[in-house]
Amino acid sequence: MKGFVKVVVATVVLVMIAAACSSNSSGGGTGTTAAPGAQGGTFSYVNCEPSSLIPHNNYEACGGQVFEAIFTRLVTFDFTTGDPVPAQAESITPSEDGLTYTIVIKDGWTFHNGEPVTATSYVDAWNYAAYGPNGYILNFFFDRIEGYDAMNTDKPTTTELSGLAVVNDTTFTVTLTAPFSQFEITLGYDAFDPLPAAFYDDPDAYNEKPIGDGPYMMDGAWKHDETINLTRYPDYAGTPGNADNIELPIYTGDAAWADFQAGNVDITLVGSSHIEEARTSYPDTLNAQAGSTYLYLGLPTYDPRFASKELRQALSMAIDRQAVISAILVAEQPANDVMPPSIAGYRGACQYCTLDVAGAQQKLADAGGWTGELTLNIYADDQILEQAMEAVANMWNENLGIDVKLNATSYNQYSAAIQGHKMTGPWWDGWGMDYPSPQDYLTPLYGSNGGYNVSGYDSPEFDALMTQGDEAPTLDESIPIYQQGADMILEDMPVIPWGYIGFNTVTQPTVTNVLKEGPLDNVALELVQVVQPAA
Amino acid sequence: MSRRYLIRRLLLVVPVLLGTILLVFGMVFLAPGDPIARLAGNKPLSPSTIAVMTQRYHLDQPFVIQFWEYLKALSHGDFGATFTGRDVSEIIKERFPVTLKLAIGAFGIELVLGLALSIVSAVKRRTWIDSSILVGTLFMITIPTLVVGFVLQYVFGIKLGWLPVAGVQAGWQSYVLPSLTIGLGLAASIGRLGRSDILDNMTGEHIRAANARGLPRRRVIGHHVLKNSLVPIVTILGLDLAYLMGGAVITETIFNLPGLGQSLIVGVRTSNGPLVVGLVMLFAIIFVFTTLIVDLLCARIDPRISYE
Repeated sequence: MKGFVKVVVATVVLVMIAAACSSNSSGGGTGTTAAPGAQGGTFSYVNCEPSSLIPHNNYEACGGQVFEAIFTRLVTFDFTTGDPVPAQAESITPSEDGLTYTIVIKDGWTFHNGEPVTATSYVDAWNYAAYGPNGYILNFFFDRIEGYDAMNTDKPTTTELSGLAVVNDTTFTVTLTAPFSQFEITLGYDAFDPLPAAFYDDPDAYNEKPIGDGPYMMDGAWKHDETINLTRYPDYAGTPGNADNIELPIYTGDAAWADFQAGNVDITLVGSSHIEEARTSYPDTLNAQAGSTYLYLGLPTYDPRFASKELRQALSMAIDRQAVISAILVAEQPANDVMPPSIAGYRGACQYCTLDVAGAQQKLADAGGWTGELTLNIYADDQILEQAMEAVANMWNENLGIDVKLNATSYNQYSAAIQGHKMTGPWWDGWGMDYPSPQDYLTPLYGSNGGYNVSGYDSPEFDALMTQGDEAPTLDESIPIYQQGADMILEDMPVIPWGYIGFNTVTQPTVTNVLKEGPLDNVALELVQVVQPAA
Repeated sequence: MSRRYLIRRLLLVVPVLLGTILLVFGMVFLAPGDPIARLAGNKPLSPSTIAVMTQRYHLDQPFVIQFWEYLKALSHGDFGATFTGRDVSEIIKERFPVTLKLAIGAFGIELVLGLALSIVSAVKRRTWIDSSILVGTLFMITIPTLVVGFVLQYVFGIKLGWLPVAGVQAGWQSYVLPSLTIGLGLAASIGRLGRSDILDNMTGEHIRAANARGLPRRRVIGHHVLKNSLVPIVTILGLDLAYLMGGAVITETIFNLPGLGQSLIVGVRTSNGPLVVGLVMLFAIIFVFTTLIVDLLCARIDPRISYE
């Protein structure tokens, strides 16, 4: 976790510098000063059009950022350690056998329409999302809870998960089909948000003006493709948000950056195309952190030519990630583990992830060399990616003497070939987590039944480790076990770790305290402070 | 204008629309990959969710059935729903006004500025005024919309801060720069086209006769020259208007205007079949009817057309 602590310290320093800069400018009498802990004011943050504002039916970041402000989840995460901390929950207690969790929620909380938040608010919402015929996107999140299968047959006979039971107004229990040490962490995802009774009357109407239990509530309905405006919820039972109002204008494409430059929006994320400009124009407020998306080059281990782990290690050691990233993929950070630094369990333990030409050549010789052409696959119409992968191809050619051909196909064909195990060579790929646990970077990708095991990695030993991690009695005890699994992946290299997509923000001098929500890729909107005009 | 001409043109609309729908629907249908699976990126959705969605959008049916279901719904004015569950007709209703405002702004600039330029440069032909208009318009035509948009956005939006940079939150002001982005180039083309049309007509026998009869210059230009020069100009203006109503993809993207063009880009990028089919069909309808109106207008200006 050392790396992450450093980043947070850097953030604090940056924020202080920003504050200092704004106080310096107050010479003319019209200037501003940053009042620490200041409340009030309005700020805006660049967002995109959500696919839905029902948390259980949304699986993308545009909605996620809205939910961050209008919902308080059962669990949140410590910004420095990444550990789960109860938020709307009072306590979450697993049973001795790890199968049943007793969840006690805080008393006296209300939804934005005044309805009390009770155990039923959770249980009914989860049942609704888990019920197959409702067709909700996040349905699959409930498959660990007992009774899920009965609700997802062709003609389900029940609309309630047998594993959920309301004990009293503030207590309910969740019974899992198998022990899962990471369950508490998953509760920090929006699939497990509560819903008010008003939702069931008219889900479509709810989608236009969602009612949550968080520090901010909708200020008017969702203006599609224009903006989502929020205002502080006056009866919020937790720590109130700092600003009075938040505007989340919706952008598609590059216009957001132009609008930020014109000073019309207070906070924006910066992608590859503008990060250099941000470094020169906004050095004081640029806050570059590793996001949760882990990028890698997939390897078809199902293809006999890629069966040798020495060959895979050789390919990994023959590329200079930092050089390619500094020159072309500037918004990223090179990977040195199979999970990003914000995840508890990250160590930076990859020994084959740095350039070592002699080592790579040795490994290639151990593997018996390579004959013929190697195809490096990318999806079409991404110039930056194409340049970066050309660089990788050149490195393999120069350092290992392998002839590499770049093969670009349409995205649909590309993803079909990946998932159908039809790739003929390495390919560009990535994985974003659902919840900040090392398990979510391992089981789905490399478990023999993993939902996105595209490399075809199959190791009973690895599977056993994952089960052992899932069965660990506590989170702390689970991490070293998952790390053993990560070590196996770093040694066997079914994929070549590449990098982490950056979560890079820039801000106007009008706001301070702009923080990433710990391990999650959101801005903690409730903490942002608007710099008040000097009295 | 003959009634038969009108009926013939109206009847032509039906096969054109059917053909367009079939073509677009076929293209979307044949596109590889599973649009439902992509709703969650590379995450596997649960089988029950996939089953429900597949059924909802008839994706398990053969092409003919899907096409028939679509036409059936369409006959009730139902454009279907996107894969994220929004009614396509609702999206059109919400976005069409934005595109319409932009089209009106750009068209206004094209019409007023374009005609003014053509008349001035024709009347003042071979003077320095004519030359500067010719050079200026050539310059405007050769610069791509993308560049014009970014330059206007940078100068007037970011540097000077006079006008909004993005979005439609600022009311009519939001449309000034986007309208100029499209309108200036179109006006330049009309200016050049109109100039040569007017000059052609000025050498006609009837103009010489009118001049010889001592008619005032203003009346000669306004009545005899302009009216005869109008047919090609109105045809081009009409095509431009039809094209503008179909959403200006580049301009809407540069200025983040939530219009139809922007929606089409998003739809194509996310393989959102129902959205793409609905929008393209709408464009086809707009195009067919706008050109119909233009043709009728031309027939009115020049009655010879309807007898061809």
